[in-house]
Amino acid sequence: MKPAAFQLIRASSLQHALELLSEHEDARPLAGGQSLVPMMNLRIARPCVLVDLNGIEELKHVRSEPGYLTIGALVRQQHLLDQEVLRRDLPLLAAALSHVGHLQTRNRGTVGGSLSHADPSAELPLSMVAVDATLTLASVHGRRSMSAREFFVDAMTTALREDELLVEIRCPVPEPGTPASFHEFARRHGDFAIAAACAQRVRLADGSHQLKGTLGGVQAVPYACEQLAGLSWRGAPPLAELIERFDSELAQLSVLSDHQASASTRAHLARQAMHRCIEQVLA
Amino acid sequence: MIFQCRINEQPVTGDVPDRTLLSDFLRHELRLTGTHVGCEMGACGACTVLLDGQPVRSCLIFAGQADGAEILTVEGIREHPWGQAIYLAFSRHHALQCGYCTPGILTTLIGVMERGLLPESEEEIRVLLSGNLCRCTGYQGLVDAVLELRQHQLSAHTS
Repeated sequence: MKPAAFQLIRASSLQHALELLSEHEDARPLAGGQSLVPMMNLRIARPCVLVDLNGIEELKHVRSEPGYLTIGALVRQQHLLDQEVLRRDLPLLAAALSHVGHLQTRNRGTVGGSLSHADPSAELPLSMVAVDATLTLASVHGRRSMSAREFFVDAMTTALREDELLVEIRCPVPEPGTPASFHEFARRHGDFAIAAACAQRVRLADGSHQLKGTLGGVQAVPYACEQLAGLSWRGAPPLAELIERFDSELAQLSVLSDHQASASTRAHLARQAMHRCIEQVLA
Repeated sequence: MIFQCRINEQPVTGDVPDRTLLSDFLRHELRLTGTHVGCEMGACGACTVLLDGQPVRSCLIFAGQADGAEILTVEGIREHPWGQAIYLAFSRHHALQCGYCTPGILTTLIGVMERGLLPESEEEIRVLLSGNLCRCTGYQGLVDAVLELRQHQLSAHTS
């Protein structure tokens, strides 16, 4: 199908884009278009005005600072994946990103666009929650920041107001050598995950260890496994106990059911994915 | 929207409604029907072209967004330095049958080869090819063609 008629306005700067979004009532931002344009082609989305953000150079940075990696919202997914600093400092994000769509969609799709779209089965929202990223939102009224967890409100729903844009993502860089793992199940490589999991073994201030596990695709927003994180240990990791803890936490969750997978299939896959992650980070 | 770009090394000026997809601009305005339309959702890959050297889905780009861009479609591959090698490899290894998915794969391969990034292993080749859905070949012929092209890329880079 073809999209309904609309007016395409090219924003020359971030300020210009924010003004356009503020001025036009039925305006939507257009970044990579890999999520929005399919919706427009299917006529699920019919904005009257599209604000083309692709010329906004000030949002295309990848900056390494002490303790952080800062990513502009308009950074193309493939461009980020190609950065050596990503593989070195945030291997979890690199692993997740390699599962996002295909080369051809990553060449256009942006980090900010994927996060703003907030698909429950998308890998970027999951990994940003997993690494405790801080997101900065901007409008003509100013800027505000929040954690990734606060940003994702519901399926396809974020904290973004009508006239707001996600502009920057700041990821704390874990201690070098922090074991991290990502696994997902999808029908075809690059498809949205039916279920995805990531895990990191973190060292706490008192020298003990903790497992940070996060699930994607199982609920409307990424799920951080709090009960799993509740068990810290010293010395040899209590693998069986951690697995049992996770299994029991998962069993309490109400898991999504859709045309791709029933709740029980999805939960089963989530369990397998997380088990692999746990075994990998504790190896 | 009025815009200017270069397509297969020729200057092009477009004047089309804003909602015109790049795939439709190529096919209907320019009669470059080698770029195929399958899903219009970015999933099948039949519409893949090179935009500023990068393989992208032309069904997910509005024609006006191509202002200032260099585009290569399958029609431009014949003249490309890699063109002959790709055609021979595809022919030798039966890497196409109906040919519907083929243009999207050819442009993707040109884009990857221009960066010297053809993958080494069969597994990595299959991951690369996963961005294009082929219903005919079962992919083995495509994998074999890419393996041959990798040899070609390696020897070209060392010569």
